[in-house]
This record gives sequence, C-alpha cells and structure tokens, in this order.
Amino acid sequence: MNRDKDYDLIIEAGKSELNYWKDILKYRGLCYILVWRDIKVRYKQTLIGIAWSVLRPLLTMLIFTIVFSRIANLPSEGSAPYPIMVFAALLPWHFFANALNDSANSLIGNQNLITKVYFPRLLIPVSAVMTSLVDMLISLILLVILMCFYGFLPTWRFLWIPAFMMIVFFLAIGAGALLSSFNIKYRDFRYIIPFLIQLGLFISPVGFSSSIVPEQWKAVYILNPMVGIIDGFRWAILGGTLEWTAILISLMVTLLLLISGLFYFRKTEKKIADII
Amino acid sequence: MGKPVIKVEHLGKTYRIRSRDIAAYRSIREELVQAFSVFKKSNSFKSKTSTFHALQDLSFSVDEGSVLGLIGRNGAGKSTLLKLLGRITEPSSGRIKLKGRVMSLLEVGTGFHPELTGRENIFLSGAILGMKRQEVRRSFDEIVQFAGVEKFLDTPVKRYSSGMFVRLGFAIAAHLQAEILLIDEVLAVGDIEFQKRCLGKIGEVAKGGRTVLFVSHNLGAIEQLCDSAMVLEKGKLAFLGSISEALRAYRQFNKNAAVRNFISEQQVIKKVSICSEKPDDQHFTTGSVLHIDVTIRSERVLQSPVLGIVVRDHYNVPMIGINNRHYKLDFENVRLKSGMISIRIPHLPLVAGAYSIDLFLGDIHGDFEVLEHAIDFLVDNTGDQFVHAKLDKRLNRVFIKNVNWEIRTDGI
Repeated sequence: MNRDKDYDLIIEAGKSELNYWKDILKYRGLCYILVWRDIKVRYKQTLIGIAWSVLRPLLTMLIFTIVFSRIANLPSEGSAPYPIMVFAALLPWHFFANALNDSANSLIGNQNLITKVYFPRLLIPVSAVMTSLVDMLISLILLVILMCFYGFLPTWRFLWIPAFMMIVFFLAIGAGALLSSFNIKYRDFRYIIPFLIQLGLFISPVGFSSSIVPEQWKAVYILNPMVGIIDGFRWAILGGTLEWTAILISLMVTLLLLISGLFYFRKTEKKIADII
Repeated sequence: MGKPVIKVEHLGKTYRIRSRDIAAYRSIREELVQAFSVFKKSNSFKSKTSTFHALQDLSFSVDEGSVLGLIGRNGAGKSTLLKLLGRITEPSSGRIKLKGRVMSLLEVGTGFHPELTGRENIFLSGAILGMKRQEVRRSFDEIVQFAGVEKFLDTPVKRYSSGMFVRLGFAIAAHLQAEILLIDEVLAVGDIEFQKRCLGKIGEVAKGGRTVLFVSHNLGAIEQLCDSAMVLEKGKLAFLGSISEALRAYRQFNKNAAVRNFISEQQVIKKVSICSEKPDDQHFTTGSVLHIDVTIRSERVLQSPVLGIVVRDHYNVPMIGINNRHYKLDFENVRLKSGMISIRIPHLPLVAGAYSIDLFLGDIHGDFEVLEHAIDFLVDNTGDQFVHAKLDKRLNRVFIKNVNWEIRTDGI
C-alpha cells in the first residue's frame, strides 16, 4: 500500500530534475495560452490594435533607410533595394531584441503566478520568445508583399529562412533563460538589458551591410552571433555570397548560450518562489 | 475512507534569513560591497545569516476522499506546507508522495489578467490552474452561472466590482477537476452569502471522492467542512485527528500563545501580547476583559503616536475598529521612541468564536506600520458570566453587556 509505485508523483528534496522535462511536455498547452494572453493583452485599448505589428517594422525600416541610405549614403547589397535590405535584417533583429527584452522581464512580470501555482517555470521565458516569433511571422508576410512591390521576387533560397529562424529562436531562448534568471537575483539587469539591446543594434548589420565593415575588424565583428544570423537572412532574401564561418560561429554561440542558459535557469528555478 | 493519496515523510523546509537586508534579491552593487567587505572584516556578513525552519520533520498521510483542515497560528507553517504539496517551492528535506492530479488554489483569481474579458480569463485561469481546454469548455456554463457574471462575460475584469472578481475566481477554482485540492484562506474574501455557497461547493467536491486540504483562520468553516484536522505548531505536527479533538488541541495551544514577538529589524512594533483579567489569564469569554500590550521600539521619535486595532472575526469581517484618537484621552503631546501602549477593553462585546487582531501604528504624519493578523484569540462560550442563556449564533455577532431592561405591568 505504501510502496512508491502506488503514487503518481514523488517530491523529494533536491530531486526534481526527473519530472521536470516530462512536465514541460505535459504543460505545453499552458505555453500556448500564455502566448495567446500576451498577444491579446498587448494591443488592448489601442486604437489600431494588431496593425501596430505591421506598422512598427515598417516605420523602423523607413527611418533606417532614410538615415543610412539617404543621409549617410551607405551602399546596399548588390542590386537589392535598400529598404528590402534593411527589412531583411529587421526581421531577425526585431525578433531578437523584443524576445530578449520580454523574456528577461517575464519572470518578474509573472511573479503572481510563480508564487501561487506550479508549472515548469521555463515556460514563462519560452512563451515570451514565442510571442515575438508571432510578430516575426507577421513581418515575414509583410516582407513578401514589400518584395513584390519592389519587383524583387523571392528565389529558392527563401526556403532557408526557417533554418535561420530556428537559430535565432534558440539563441533568444538561451539568452532569455539566462537573463531572466539573472534578473530574478539582481534586479539591475532590468536596466542593463535596454543598453545591451541598443549596443547590439550598432554592432549588428541592421542598418548597414556587412560588406562595409573594414577587413581588420571582421574577426571581432563576426563573433557577434547576430551577424551570422542577419547575414543568413539577407542571403536567403537578397542573394549574394554567404560566409559560412559566421553562421558556424552563430550556431556555436547559440548552443553555448542555450546550454548555459538552461543550466543556470534550472539552478535558479529551484528557489525562485522563495526569492522572487 | 480509501487508500492514502498523500504521504509525507520527514518533510522539512528551511529558509535562510539575512537580517541585514530582508529582500532576498540583491543588486550587483550590494554583491560587490559584500565581496569587498569580506577582505576588510572577514565574517561580519556571515554571522548575520540565520536559518528559519518553516517546517520540521513532518510526517503524515491523508486518505482518499478526506477533507483535512490545517490549523495553526500565523507562521506555524500552514501555507508553507501547501506550497510544498503544490510544488511551488521545493522541500529542503524529506519527501512527499502524491497520487492523482494536484491543484492549488492559494488565491482567488490566480492568473487573471485585468485587461482580458471574463470569458477570456476563465480559459486563461483554468489553464494556469492545470485544467485542459476541453475541461474548461465543459464546465464553462456552470462556472459562469455559479459566479453570476453572465452579463459581463465580455467586459474586461478590470471593470468588475471586487465582488464579481472574487466570485468568478472562486467559480473557476470550484470546478477544478483534480483528485487533490489545496485551498488556502480563499474564503477570507467575498461577502458572507457567497462564502457560504463556496463552503457548500467545497463540501460537494469532497463528497465526490476528492481529497481536500483546507487552510483557514475560519475555525467555523473548518469545523463545518472537515472531518479531520491537523494542528501545526512552529513548523511541527502538534496534533492530527478528528476535527473536534483537533480544535480542542488548538485551543489548548492557544492558551499559552498570547505573546507574539516580531524579530524584523525594520519593524517598530516588537511584541504584542494579550491577556484577560490577569497577565497569565488567557481565557476570554463574552463580557470578560481583553487587555492588549504593544511594545514599540522605533529608530525615530513618533510625534503624537496613534495605535489602532481592528478585531476581525473568522470571516475576516471587522467587528471592532478603534484607535486612541477615538477616545477623549489623546496622546497628542506624547513623543514616543521606545515603550509600550496598553489597551484594555473592560467588557469584550464579542460572542464565542475565533478572532484576529490587526494593528495600525502611526503618528502625526499618518500610518506607517500595519500588522494584519498580528495575534489571534478565541472567545469561549463556556463559563460566560454575563450571558445567562445561550445566544442565538445566527443573530448575534456582538453582545452588549449593560443593557437596561424595564418592565411595567399595568395590572391584569
């Protein structure tokens, strides 16, 4: 009667690891619900609602095109129109910046849930990243429309986009898991993250093309995982040559961040309800 | 009674308290300061970390279909136990074995988002509490009807009245499809009529063969609902058995529980103690003396201090709310830094039941310390010297001692 196998769940001090990954699968429905909630809530009480998802990337593209192409006179990549080149980079960059910001603050934002009900906490930053993924998909449709407008039609390379999306998705999850658990312990990160994102915008080829980076800086420049990812997106959308070393570095950094992020997150998660 | 569905073995939960900064999270600056101070004066920080045993070596089992009440004073570990069973935090030692789905209801409206409509929140909260989508859909109409919010389904819950909000939150919880339900103090909110309906619903749930663990300050509710109860005392199991014996045991403990010390450095109120006629007399009855001593130690001087007390009954309904400004005697010219304020109510107007006292301390600038449920006490109905016949409990919440009755007979 009292044997362990009669019970469905055994909670033991310091031995939660076994159930955890099973639970993630079991609770995946909750992840979708949280994504649904965040999207629903985001545009409540706004006049134009979901149109903001379209307007925001378009306006950024406009500003970047004016500043970098018209004022700074930077060259585009090959024959591609400058707006398309900017938009191709904004796709992963916007996703990454929003996902990072939202997932890093997600644990603090959901503390009322964390202290009241059990579910694998990893779902919180993951759902924040997935919310941004929805935005990226909307932007992708917008891009196709824009390309048709400029008469710059997608080629077979477009099929590579899901692969690059996967990389940036896991990069965001790794970084988000890491930063959100830092944020729980040290609230300073709430203020550091915007600076990180701002810095990232300048060292990543969002407003400019990688081709204008001086040769002597290239070695340092491609250490930024977003360089490989953005250039990957550009290659899939605009064509040209793809530097595989940059992609390889992105993959490695993503893997590193993902492993260390998940590891550190699990470590923090055990006491999260006590310290939040 | 069926097989055990909850089995707890040597369960313990320890918190580290750092008396320097109560907040568990820190800023990097503090971390750096600490890192450097290690070189300066080596163990000044370590010495200030102490451990607090919220629960110690707790072992028990609960059978299928039983409704177990958890009683104990504030800080006895009731909520910690529910949080461990609900997997919100991890135990520091020991183990818990559970059979079936566990859902915890530690708050009304868990997961509600104010911007979303009632309809959306039913699905959201249901999912967060662990219900499947089909399960929510199946009980949707029943939830709406139980909460009585049909007309406001498409209104954001931020526009709900607090009563509606609570009703909707509880209605979702009452329809949870779990084998084990953990409920913490949720009945402390809402109007009495609704509380009664909730109690009825919980009773129904238990009759359906599900196991319920129920924490409440409402001893009346516990008595009504539970068939057995557990008394926790300073994180240890003090009693486990039938409800009537458990309540008797709890009252026994409470007799010597009339002092509460507050260890927090930031807090100004350091100690609260209550007694009846004599300092060691803890037997309160209707009409007896209630004497409260509040010890205060403050960093800064309190200019014309104000101490207020609110006595709440077990439904959390305030019964008495007074402060020294309400009385002719005022502490207007008093400057207090360290000392004691005593309140003596010569004839307690309360009928038998469990009560809790909130304390409000302030000065000329306003309230600055509020201690909710600072201390609990029981008013007994045995040995009432002033109430000669049994009061009708349904009609009386207070009893006025000095009522003049006159009768004039004008011949027959």
